[in-house]
Amino acid sequence: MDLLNLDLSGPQWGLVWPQLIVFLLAVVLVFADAFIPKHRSFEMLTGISIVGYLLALGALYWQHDKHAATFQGSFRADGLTVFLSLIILVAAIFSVLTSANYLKDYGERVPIGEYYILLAFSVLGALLVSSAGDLITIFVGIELTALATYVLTGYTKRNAQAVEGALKYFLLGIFASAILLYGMAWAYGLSGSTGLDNIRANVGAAVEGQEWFEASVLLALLLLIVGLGFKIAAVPFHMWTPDAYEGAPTPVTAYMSVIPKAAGFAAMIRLLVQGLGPLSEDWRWLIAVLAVLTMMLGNIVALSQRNLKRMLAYSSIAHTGYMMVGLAAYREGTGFGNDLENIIGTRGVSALLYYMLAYVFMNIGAFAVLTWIQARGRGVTLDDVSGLASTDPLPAAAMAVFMVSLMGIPPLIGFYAKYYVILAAMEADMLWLAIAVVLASGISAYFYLRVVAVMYFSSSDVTNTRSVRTPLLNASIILLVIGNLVLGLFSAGIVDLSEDWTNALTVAQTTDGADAAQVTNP
Amino acid sequence: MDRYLVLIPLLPLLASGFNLLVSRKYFPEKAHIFAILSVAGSFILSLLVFREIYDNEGPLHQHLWSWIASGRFHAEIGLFADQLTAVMLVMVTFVSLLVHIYSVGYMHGDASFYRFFSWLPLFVFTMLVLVLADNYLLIFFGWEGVGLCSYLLIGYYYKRRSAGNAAKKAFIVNRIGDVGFGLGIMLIFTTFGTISFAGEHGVFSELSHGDYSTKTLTAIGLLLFTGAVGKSAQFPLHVWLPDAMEGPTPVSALIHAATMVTAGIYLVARSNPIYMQAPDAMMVVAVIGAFTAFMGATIATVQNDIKRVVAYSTVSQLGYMALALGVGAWVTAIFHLVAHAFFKACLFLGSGSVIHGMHEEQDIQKMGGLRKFMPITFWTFLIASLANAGVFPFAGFWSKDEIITGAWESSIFPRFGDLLTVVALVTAFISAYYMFRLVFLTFFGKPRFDESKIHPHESPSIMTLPLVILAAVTIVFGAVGYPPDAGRFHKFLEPVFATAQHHEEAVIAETATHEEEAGETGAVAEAAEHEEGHHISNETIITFAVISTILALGGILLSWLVFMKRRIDPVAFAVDHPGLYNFLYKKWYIDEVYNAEVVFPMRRLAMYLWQIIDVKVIDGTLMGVARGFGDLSQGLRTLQTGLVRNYALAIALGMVLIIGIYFAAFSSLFR
Repeated sequence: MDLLNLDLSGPQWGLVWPQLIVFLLAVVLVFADAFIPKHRSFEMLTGISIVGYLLALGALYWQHDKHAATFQGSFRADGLTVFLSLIILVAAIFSVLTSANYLKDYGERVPIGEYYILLAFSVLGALLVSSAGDLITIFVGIELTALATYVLTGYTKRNAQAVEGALKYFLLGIFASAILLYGMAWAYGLSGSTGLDNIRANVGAAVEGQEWFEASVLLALLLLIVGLGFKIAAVPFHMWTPDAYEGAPTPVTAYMSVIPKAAGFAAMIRLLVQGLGPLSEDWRWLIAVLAVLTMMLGNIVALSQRNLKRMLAYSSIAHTGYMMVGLAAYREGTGFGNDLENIIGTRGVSALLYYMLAYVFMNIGAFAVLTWIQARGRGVTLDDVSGLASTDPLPAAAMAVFMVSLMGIPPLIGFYAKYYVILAAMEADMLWLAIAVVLASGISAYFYLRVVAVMYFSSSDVTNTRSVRTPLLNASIILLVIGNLVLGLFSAGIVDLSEDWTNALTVAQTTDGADAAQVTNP
Repeated sequence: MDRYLVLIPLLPLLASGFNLLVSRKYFPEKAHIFAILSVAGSFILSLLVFREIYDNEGPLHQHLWSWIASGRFHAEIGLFADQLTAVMLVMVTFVSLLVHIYSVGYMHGDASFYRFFSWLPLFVFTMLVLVLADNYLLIFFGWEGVGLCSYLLIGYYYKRRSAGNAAKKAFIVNRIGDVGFGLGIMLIFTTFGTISFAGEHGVFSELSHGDYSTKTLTAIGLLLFTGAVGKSAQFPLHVWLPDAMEGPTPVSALIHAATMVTAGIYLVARSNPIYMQAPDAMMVVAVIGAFTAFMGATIATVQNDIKRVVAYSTVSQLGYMALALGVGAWVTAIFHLVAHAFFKACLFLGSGSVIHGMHEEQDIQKMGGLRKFMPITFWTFLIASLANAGVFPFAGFWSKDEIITGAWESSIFPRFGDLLTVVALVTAFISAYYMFRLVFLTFFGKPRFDESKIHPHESPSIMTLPLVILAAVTIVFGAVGYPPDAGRFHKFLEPVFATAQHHEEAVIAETATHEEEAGETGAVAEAAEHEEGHHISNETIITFAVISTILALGGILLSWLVFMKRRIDPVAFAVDHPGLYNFLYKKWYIDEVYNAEVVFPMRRLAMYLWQIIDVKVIDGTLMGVARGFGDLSQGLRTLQTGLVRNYALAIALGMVLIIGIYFAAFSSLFR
């Protein structure tokens, strides 16, 4: 393996291509928006965005076997980076496809360019978090994603509900960011470094036997969890979610239910597993309890929602809970060190990663169908989809696939995602957590299936009031349905890829300056 | 070639999907074209596979993708073709192709023509997956798939109540066997740590390296055989097969005679390394097989529905195959399987032709003299009947004879072998009798139907052509098995059962050393024969060939005396012996016993579970829980006030609570 060489004179730009491409995309979009004539801007900007993200995906393939760090260890191109970036870029492509027709429709009243530019910066922020090896990078990435998302939430600025959602999101977001930053400050103060690998080494070495130190580390840890808990919408920091999701334009909701959440989980994995992994016995119980609260509350409150966007908001809270189970299943053995042999729960993180990819396909899919319905002049309540199957059988079928997948029924991708999470919980000896996932899924069946039932078995009293053509949106829905049907069957290969994340920990060894001979290529 | 293995099952699947989705709407009358073309393609590919394996002897392997990987458990989708697979592939695709062609004539004018030609290729797909699978789980997929297709096709005339019931019966009875098969797969996994049988780390290579307890292997063998009992209609789960005749006749020929019902035989043969180390399981297989052969044959002697006679004959012949498996005559079992597929498909298609010509009349008491109305059907039917009766030189003669000698010579349980041989010989006699009862009553004598109303006619050439081809194959197929136990067929299949053969020879060698003490010359002669590869002496073979030929001819003679010469009046005989007649006519009262002992108590239990347990206990609890969650949901949603300050308060409170609890409970600072 080509190991990192700390004596490099400058940063290795070669490692950074996927992230760099998205940055360049954002810049190009700014200029393109300024110079392309208005009547061409929709086609051009959509095309540039998709090509840009596809190029980044291509560069990602090229990056995937590099396993190295640069920029003094603050940028890391390891297995975790690659899989997280894959999730984010796939989500970005589907976000563009989902929102394109909506934007064109709205084109008279809102600037299209800004949307794509904000989206690109937000994606860039999420990519930065995924590849961060340093507290500062993580914070900058998180804030970049969040700031762009605040604006996107209130994108339809004449819509009072959108503005209300955006403002709530923004106010609470900066509150949480402050808590997160405070936690980071403690972590820095205790370890004397912002580098995750140094934090791992220093905290691990120092924590034994010093009571005040242990308490301080615990404080840092808890503050970080609270701050990031907001970003991923974990109970009790989830309250912004329904209002922001409902207020935002539906394609934006699709996007914000996935990418900022992915960024939040990326930060959590980086901070808790890579940085504070030696404390896993301290944090995994908290994560587990929060996971149960999150999935239970999300699913239970979703039962009484008639607005589908709100229902999906609570459902996304519940899915946060399932994903946290993967994190809670991570265990490092006692005895601090970077020895991979000590870690029993690596499959928990793999399960979380796979779940996030599955979630992209399920959740964007569900919102894409809602966008499709809205584009035809219907609302987004249960009554609006009543009898949809008789008037528009194909979107109804797609919606049914997404609902059933979210519920976790084989052979759809949602089943496999849940399966791996449950398996990870059981391997970590947390049977109760596995049972909680199953129970929560049982509750969720009611509101997911209710949508299907209403679409198929109720009579249609609402009809489409507009007829529009939405080719990109249709393509997006079709691709997402195929993804839901097929990716589960090929889950073994994807999980193999996600298990590469463990070299995030081995690359860390080289950054420490540890003996190069110890490094194994997993 | 191994890269194209996937095409063999894929083509029929595509045809099936195409017919179901496209043909249905746009050209329902043309659906057969795609089905026939796809199956013909599979047939050609199968021949290529066969040739390649014949030339190279090495098995072909194609790994498609990993389905599930979870810990040690790996479910792969992979295709595997060795000599056994190659034989099955050619047989399945060949008979399927002929049945497809025949069905064009038979199903002509049916209201849902496209539906028939959607399910039939789907069946071929699942059957080919079953045969090509490289692990037990994929076999199970094919196994359940053929079961489903069988269900769909038995119930093809779904408007007829009896067809619906027969379909359900087939499905449910098979389910009992499938439970055993499923448990067997689980036991295989826990024992060997893999469900794949082929390859370096497959079950069979594990078996040859490791030391496994005979008890476990016997349990696996018995569980797998439970599946085979269901699918291959062995006693006591044979009851579904005769009822399955409610389906269209081509379906009976393809699924319930030639292919699907032999899946159980294939499964046991495929698992031969397991059985060779589990002699008790083999004994069960042999005894059940012999009993089924005898029982099926006796029932067939008194049935009046032409298809039912052939169906019970199938049950009986499947029993023969199981007997061959049980006595360790693996190649012979497969030989008989293939020979049977040809002549039984011919018999069924011939029956179909008769039914077609007689305007849906199936009662042989209302036929007679059809020889002159439908000559082609008659001649082909006669040839197939001779094969089924085991008359020289037709395919069935060679294979049945080998089974009998195999049972006699079986080294696995010498004492039982003699008894099984006697049963097999008696059954051979009965088989000849019932087969020719059918032939005489149907084709000879005076017409017993109203000739002014029914005008029997020969079927169109699209139906008779497959009959002729199958009859021709039946005549010549015996040749590949000559000389007995050392023919081309045996040489070709030997590598598959090589491990089994080794084991058996080891046992024989052991007996030989014992004999050496008694008489040296005999042992030396026998040892010399072992080296040549066949251990059954020519004297034995010829003796049994003569005995079974005499028995078969005797059966035919008896049937001739009874039904042609009327030396014995069958009706008077039945009246004189009502007990025996009813016992056979009512199929040994097995259905009645099941109804009284299984179905009725189950129904009572189901009623109890439904009305008391389900409605009151479970529904009551569920509704209560559901209502509870609904109320909880309503309560919790009021927390969402919509006010930012409350949200912020929740975050702050949450933070304080978490930190407080952690510090109070876990940190030693405050202790």
